[in-house]
Amino acid sequence: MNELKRKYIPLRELSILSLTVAMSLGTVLKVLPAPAKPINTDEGQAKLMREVNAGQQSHQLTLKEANRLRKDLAQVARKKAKMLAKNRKLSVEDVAKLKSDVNEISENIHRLELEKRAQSH
Amino acid sequence: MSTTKKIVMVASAVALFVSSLPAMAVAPVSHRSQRQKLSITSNGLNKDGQPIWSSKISVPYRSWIPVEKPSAVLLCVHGLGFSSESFTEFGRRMAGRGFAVYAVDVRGFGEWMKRQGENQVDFEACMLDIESALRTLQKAYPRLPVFLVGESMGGAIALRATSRYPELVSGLIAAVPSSDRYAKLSSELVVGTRYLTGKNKPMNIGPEVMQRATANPKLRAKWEAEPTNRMKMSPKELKQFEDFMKGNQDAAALVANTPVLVFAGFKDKLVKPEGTINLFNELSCQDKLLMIIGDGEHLLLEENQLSDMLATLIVDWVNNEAHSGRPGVRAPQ
Repeated sequence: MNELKRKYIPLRELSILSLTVAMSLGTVLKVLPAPAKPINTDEGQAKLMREVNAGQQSHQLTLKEANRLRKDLAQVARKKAKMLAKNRKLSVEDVAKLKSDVNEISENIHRLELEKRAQSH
Repeated sequence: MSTTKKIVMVASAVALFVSSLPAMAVAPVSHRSQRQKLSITSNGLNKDGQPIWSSKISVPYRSWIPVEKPSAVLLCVHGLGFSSESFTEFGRRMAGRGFAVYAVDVRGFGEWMKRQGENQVDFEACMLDIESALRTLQKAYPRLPVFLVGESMGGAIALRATSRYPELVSGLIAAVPSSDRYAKLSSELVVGTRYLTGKNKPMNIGPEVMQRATANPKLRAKWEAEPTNRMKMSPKELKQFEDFMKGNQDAAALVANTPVLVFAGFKDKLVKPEGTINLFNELSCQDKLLMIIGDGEHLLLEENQLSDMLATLIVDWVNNEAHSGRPGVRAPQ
């Protein structure tokens, strides 16, 4: 009987301990923000395309400007396709180059839109 | 293992799972509210028997809806000179295979010809029409993938729409979307000369286009006799068409994630199959398929030119892509 008790008590303690650990881990996860999504140049390009479309529709970009920006986005897509064709996957340097190009287009969109807003005032 | 231990372990697991739930990034789903608002019937028709999106959009269109619940939606865009009427046979056959088929009139063609002030070719307005149609169809069929289908100029329009609104398009089927035509230089010279002498004076492009597009005299006669077709266009409109088609390569490069099926007719004497192949190579997406139809002329989908083999291929491709589970493709339920 004593032998059984000796075996049973550590088991109960272990169960309580595991429950405590699980609950505290859950609380920690609750407090922490959701893990950030990995950086995706495709998403950046898609977002910029939406911005160009919206800018054109709201007349903050002229047709010519919108087409120029789409051409720039197409160049980035071509560059990415070439990089993928060469190495099958993007290196850290490739991603940095693409991100730099995408950022430049983003800056151009906002600059052109700001210019239009300044002109309208 | 004792029962107590089992219970405690299950409780621990449940506690861990429940506690971590809010930390997971879950996108909100609003399908239920959309369905309630639209009150969609199973076959895509409203209570009046009209297609569910008919009251939501002002773009002229035709539709062919299957009796049973459709498995996918096809939005078709016609070629230069035609109208949505040209997809009649295609629409009937595809509806028979379980797809809801819609075809819009491009600005300047079909029903648009009767609208004062809107009867001229306008590709930018057409892009907005397509976007509006895609959004309406997505709302009307919230759980179905929507595929864009286009032939010749319609293929180029569908390609452009896919590059601009990838989030609205589950897949693209483009037949001869290339701008690389035979005798392109001479036709451009003719248009350029006419542009200088009278840019708004209509010129008949019918005879040359029809002669190159098909060797079938019956098809030519039908093409010519169809009242909804328009083969007289001004040099200004033709220049706009040329300028629009020049953007094909960039549009193809911008298609990065949407699955694409491309067709070209080997016996096409109007658009060079090599041009379509070059355009295919320019597509950035990995999920792409090119079919060169050995006995195919310029028209492969419109004007009753859809062969049984091609119809089967399209049905299989659409069903396969619809069930692929690829990001952006909504699986039918």
